[in-house]
Amino acid sequence: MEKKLSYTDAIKELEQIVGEVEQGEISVDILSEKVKRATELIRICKSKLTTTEKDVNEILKEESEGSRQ
Amino acid sequence: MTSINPSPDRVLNLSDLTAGIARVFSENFPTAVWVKAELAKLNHYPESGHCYPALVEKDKGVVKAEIRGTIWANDFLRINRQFLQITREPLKEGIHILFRAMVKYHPVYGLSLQISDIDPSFTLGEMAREKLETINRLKKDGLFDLNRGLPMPMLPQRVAVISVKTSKGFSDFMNVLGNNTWGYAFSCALFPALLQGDKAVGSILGQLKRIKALKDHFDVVAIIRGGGGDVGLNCYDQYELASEVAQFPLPVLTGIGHSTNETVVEMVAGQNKITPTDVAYFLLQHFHNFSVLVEEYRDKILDYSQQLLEFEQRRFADLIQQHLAGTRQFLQTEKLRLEGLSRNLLDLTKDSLHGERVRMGELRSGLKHYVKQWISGRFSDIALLERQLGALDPVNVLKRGYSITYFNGKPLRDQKKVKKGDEITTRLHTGSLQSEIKSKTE
Repeated sequence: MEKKLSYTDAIKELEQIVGEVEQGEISVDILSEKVKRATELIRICKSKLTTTEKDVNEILKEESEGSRQ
Repeated sequence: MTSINPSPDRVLNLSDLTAGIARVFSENFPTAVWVKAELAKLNHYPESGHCYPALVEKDKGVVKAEIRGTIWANDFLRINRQFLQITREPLKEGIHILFRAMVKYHPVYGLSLQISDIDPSFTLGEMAREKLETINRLKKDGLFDLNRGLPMPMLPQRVAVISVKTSKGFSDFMNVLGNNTWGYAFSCALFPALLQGDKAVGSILGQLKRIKALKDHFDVVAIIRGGGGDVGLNCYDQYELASEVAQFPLPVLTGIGHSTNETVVEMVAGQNKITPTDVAYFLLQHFHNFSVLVEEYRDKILDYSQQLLEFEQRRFADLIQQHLAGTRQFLQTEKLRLEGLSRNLLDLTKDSLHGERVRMGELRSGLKHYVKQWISGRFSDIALLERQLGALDPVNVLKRGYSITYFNGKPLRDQKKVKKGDEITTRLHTGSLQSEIKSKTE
């Protein structure tokens, strides 16, 4: 599930949490849950910066193999 | 029927005829003329260096006039150099030219226009007009701003690069992306294409078509060119290519790298960054922005969480204090109450004990009295018994006149126990008598 989360979705969710935080809508009860989720989202976002899915070359390979047939 | 047979004196040699034709042309076109036409084919022969261009005039696509031209090797070198310098395009098929030519008729090679000069500014004007036409048509068709209106993806990470693998532009681009100090990762796929000259349009269009089929696997397209000089960029003003770029579903970034006016493709591209390295820096900047945003959000969440926790801690501490104070108060009250109770209990106990003691005293004296009475009663009983017993005492019986007879020291109750002549003792109230038995009666 986490892998399918795109950076756009991740940052959107992060923005939502930050928004809730800024509005003071988060209570201490769910704070740790939210912070945990935000940490996870930040981790995902940051790792997106430095890793690629590496599927492009495979796609190109598949495409050229397909056109040869 | 008249005879069609010619009279022998009127027959010409072919060379006489061609000489006559040549004369007609030289008489009618004694000097060079300026002509405008489309260069349909260049027909340059590199070995000889000569050129035999096909010159046409079209009306709505239909050829209205066509004639062959000739540019001798020496003229071609000069003309082409000058043309390139001014238009930044080589002489090529499909352009309109204004040229100076002599109409020449050659007995063997026939009619041709011998071109001695081409005016580059005319072509430049034509090219500018075509460019303007392309722009106007794109605007009219509502395509001009389409690609520029596409939102840039937040992380343009998967890049479809249309370039030439061995070009300086491509290697600059890859170096900037690959050697960034932040470790940002890009996934670039090269779609090789010709990037200048006549064949560029078809080549780039072909690769755009491939990328379009794979558009879900890419974030942006980068058209990267560099190191090829500033010539042959006219292709980027062509409607077909510009409209494809304008309508492309992914943002197109251009780094075509030149110093002349912006081409139409660059105008309609999502981002025109001129040089390949600028395109690369632009992509890095997006990563930076993303990273900064993430950091900002992280700080916000951290700050707020700390604030909230501190607030709750203070609140909790206050509550504890309140609770402690309340508890202390409660305990104090209870303690006082207990003390009161215990004092009461003590008093009550004391009272109760005193009563008991009094009662005990009463009981004790009652008991004493009773015992005394009981004892004196017994004494009376005993005295009565004594009196009764006294009546039975033999002494008292003897007193009344009775006596006791003893035989051998034992009271004698039966006459059979003694015989005549036995001595017996008779005890009286005072003293005793010894007697001898004389006779017995039954």
